[in-house]
Amino acid sequence: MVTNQSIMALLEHIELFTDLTREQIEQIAALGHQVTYNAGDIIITEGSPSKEIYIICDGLVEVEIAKGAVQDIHGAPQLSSIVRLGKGQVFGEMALVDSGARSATVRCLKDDTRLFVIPRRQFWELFEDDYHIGFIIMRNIAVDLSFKLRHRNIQTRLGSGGEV
Amino acid sequence: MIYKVSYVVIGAAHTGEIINMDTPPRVGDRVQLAHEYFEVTEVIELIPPRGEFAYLHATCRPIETEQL
Repeated sequence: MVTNQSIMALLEHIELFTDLTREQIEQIAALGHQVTYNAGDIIITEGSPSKEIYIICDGLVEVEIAKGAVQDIHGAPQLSSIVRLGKGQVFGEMALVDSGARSATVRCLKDDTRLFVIPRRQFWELFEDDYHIGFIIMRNIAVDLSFKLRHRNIQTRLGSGGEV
Repeated sequence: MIYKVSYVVIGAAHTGEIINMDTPPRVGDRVQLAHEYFEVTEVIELIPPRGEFAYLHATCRPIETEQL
């Protein structure tokens, strides 16, 4: 059984929460919940409304984008894998920043992949109540997005990536 | 220290991976990405460390079957 203590022990070592106090992380932990997925499960779908941010507690997911023109992505698009994300990584964070539709599909690759899910609305309400928490989280998201962009740049430079 | 590593694979159709590790990758290491094994050929610091996190990039190449 996963206890609140084990969730806290995990969240305290998540990059998104770097520079927050234990009490502040507890406030955030109270907003979310854990979910478990199995290999092949679709966690979020490109183009769908965004309502949550996800933290990978354990397991592996694949981020995929539809090929072709944006107007053609509905239906049964051919998907192209852009990155795999493992333990400690965050996805769905763009929605927290811009409230836009999902920019990619995320598929679970390993059975018993555990995610911690935080609803965007409650997260924003916490930021409004405590600007310091909001600033730190947004700064950490910026660093995470920067890291992902640098990863993507290297893939492009080396001619790597693409379909799997 | 937690090592956030960007793995990029050359020489194979592999997407690459971003994952947190307890130890840093080193050149010559064999790493398992999903179900496949690769050899690390390059490690660089991608971003300066922040807090308990170090940010690294590792380039990998496929390991030939007979080398496993």
